[in-house]
Amino acid sequence: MPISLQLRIVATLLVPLPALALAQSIGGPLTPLPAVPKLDPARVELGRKLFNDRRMSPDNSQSCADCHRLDRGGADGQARSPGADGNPLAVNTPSVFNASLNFLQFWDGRAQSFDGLVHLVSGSATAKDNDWGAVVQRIANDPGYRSGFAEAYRQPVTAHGIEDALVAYQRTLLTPDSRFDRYLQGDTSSLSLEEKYGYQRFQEYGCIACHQGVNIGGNMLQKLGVFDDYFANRGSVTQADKGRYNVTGDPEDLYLFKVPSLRNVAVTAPYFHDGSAPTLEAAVDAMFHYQLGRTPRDGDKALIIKFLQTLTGQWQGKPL
Amino acid sequence: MKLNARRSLLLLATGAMSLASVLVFLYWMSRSDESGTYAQARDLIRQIKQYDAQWESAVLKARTTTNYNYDPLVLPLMDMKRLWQQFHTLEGRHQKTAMPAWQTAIRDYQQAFDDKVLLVSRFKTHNAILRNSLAFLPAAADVIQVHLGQLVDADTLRLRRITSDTYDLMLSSLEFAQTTTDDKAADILVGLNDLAVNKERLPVDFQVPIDTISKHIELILREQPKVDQLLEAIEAVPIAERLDVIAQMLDRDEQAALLAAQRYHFYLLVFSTLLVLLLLYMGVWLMRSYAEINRVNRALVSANDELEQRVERRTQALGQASAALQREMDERRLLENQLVQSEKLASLGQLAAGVAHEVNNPIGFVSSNLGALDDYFGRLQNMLKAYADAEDTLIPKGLGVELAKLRTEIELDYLLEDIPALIRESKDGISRVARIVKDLKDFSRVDASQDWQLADLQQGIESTLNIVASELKHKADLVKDYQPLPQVECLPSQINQVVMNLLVNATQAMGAERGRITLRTGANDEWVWIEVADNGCGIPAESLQKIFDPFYTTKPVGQGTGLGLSLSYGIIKRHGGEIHVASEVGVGTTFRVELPIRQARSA
Repeated sequence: MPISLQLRIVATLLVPLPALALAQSIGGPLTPLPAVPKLDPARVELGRKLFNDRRMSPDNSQSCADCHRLDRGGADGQARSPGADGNPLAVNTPSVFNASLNFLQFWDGRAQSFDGLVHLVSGSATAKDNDWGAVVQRIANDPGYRSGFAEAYRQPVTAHGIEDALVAYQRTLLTPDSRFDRYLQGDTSSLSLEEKYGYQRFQEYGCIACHQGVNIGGNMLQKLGVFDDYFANRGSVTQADKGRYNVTGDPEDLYLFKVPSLRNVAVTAPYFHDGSAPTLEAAVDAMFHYQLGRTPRDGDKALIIKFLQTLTGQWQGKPL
Repeated sequence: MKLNARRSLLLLATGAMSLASVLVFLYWMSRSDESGTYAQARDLIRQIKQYDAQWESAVLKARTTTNYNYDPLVLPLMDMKRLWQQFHTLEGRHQKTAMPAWQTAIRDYQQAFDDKVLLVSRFKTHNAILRNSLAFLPAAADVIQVHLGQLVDADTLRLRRITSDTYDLMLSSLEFAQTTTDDKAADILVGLNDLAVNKERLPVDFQVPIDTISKHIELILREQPKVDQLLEAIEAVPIAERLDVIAQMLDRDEQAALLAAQRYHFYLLVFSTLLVLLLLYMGVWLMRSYAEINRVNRALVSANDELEQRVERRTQALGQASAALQREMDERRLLENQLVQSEKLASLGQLAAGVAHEVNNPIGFVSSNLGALDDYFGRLQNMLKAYADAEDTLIPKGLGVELAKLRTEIELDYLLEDIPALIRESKDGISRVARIVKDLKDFSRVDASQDWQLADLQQGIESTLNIVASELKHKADLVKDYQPLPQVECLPSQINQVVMNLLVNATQAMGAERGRITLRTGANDEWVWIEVADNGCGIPAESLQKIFDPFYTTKPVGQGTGLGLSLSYGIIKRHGGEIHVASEVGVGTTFRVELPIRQARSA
């Protein structure tokens, strides 16, 4: 075999390598938001109506959208939203945006993928079942919903239909086109140098160990307080603080929580399951202390926060 | 009957329905529809296995990569769940999954899957922080070195020892991450303790990085065995084995289904053959019964025909009997009439015979007297002639004159001439009377004796002609065309009567003009025949068949009895003969009588 041909083969093999390396280096363990799935518009519209319908709560007091406010990053800005009974709920309201991309739902990860996209917010399990039955009946009595379901599902209103419509709607609640997504898609100019440094620090300090994947989080459980006892320091430990233990009863699962998505993190304060961190700074501080067991060098926290602010996507063409 | 037919129809329909459903059932069972879902199920299991392998390799990669995207540890699980769901909802799998073996296999797989999900989830949790600390360790050691380097007027030896100790500790920890043993863990623990002791002699500011690295090494010490355990446990999760079991069961089910399908195929074949045979049998049976029906039908038709024929025959027989009866009655009446007639004739004949006998005597003596008279007168004549010759001589003149005068007066000459003539005529007359009487006797003589006798028919005909001559001669000319006839055995008076009847009829058939009657006779070996033909008015065809009926007459009332021809017919029949008539209106009528020469009954 002539040497020139060998060289050409090697050259041909080598050409794609830098491109791959670049892609790897840009994205790393983060991947851009996928396109909004193509779903039956009639079902999505039904889901939207249900999402905004106060009759979905047992006492007609709250709609899904009352806590998951699309104009407030898919949450309501409160540490713990008030439940139907007016008392604060056990945990902070997570954003509904991009929730369909989470592998686990709820802070304690008690539901996988779409299962948790429909839930009632208060009461015991049996009470919820009864309430849910009442809600379904209420929706079924509405002529508008009846015709809507007949059109979209060719069948009368059922609990399953309601759930499916809500899931369909929430699957469309993606916030694409964040500056970081554009960066991941190859538009390196969409991030400033500082923001790029912020991303570099985000990786360097190991934030990315948990906040990775398409949703920059949302795909694993992690113990809150790896290097220090978060709850001892905070005080007044509640049942909800036990996290995944509440689901499994396994002591190994104590204080395990779903790693939340960092998409739109800048607009979804306060933070953590207890809503205890009112600002990004406080949250990043807590993360460094409890999760990373490290002290950031001067300016690195600011860089990371700058990076986190590039994760804010758009909803209906407008930044959140 | 109707109910029966309906019930049997219902029975037949039920039978056909059940046969058809058996056929459909066998066809359904023989379809190896299993294979479609089998291929699908096998494919799904294969895909699940593939995703499991991907999952596993993702886990192994995550073990060695620091900044790792954990989505690949999540997505295969979603796909596996989705495929498993598909596998579960595959058509026709529901009955299968109800079987205990399948339930076990499915439960085992799900258990393994759930175990693996849990283990992988824990692996993610522990691995993420372990990788972080491992990655951070060299940098943390560097930080300590930099920090300690900044220390002035310190015990350089101790500082160097601390530095080298932390470095060793870092290296041991990294080594521990590669080969996790209890010895190494113990060494690291000792090292950590030393570091903690040495740290105390440093200023507080310099203690922080040492605390940090210690915490991270502790974490490695804590998490590394856990991650290793989890990895071992993950690898030990028998998902692939469970899937293999399921695949094997699928194969087995498929084989069983194929066998069953083959069996049902065979059953179907046998059943179809039986059905065809049944159809054939029914066809043959139908044909046979059809033939039977046809046969019975034909028999019925022929029986019907026969019946009709029999009825016809019987009717005919009845008609014949009735006609015979009628004829018998007619004959009887005829006989009665004939009896009456013959009684009349007999008495007439006796009368005539009596008269003839009585007349015969006078005729006899008149005839003999006339003969004597003739003789006597001849003698007188002779005498008178002698007197005349002697007159001149014997008798005076005077007297002579007188005599001459008288002679002239009585016309003696004429008398002498006429008397012989008178006598002759009288003799003629009396001989005619004698003949008539004789004929009369001839005609009537046989009436007295009804015995069969050989008779000369010609003589009878002549006698009869004499009797009717007076009537005949005014109306028609008689033409005789005779051939010699033999003696015929008959009742002559009756045959005479027939001839007379025919002659009278022929005479009466004549119109105003004088006609002609032809009498013909003839004979052959056994038969004699007599024909009476006239050229009279003739008989119309419609009357022709009735002329022999008793009392049938066209003559004015009082002129004919309507018995003549009927009587004649009876007489000829009694003789075993025939009487025929041929007639044409305006041309004439011919009667022909045929008689056997010898009577059969006398033989």
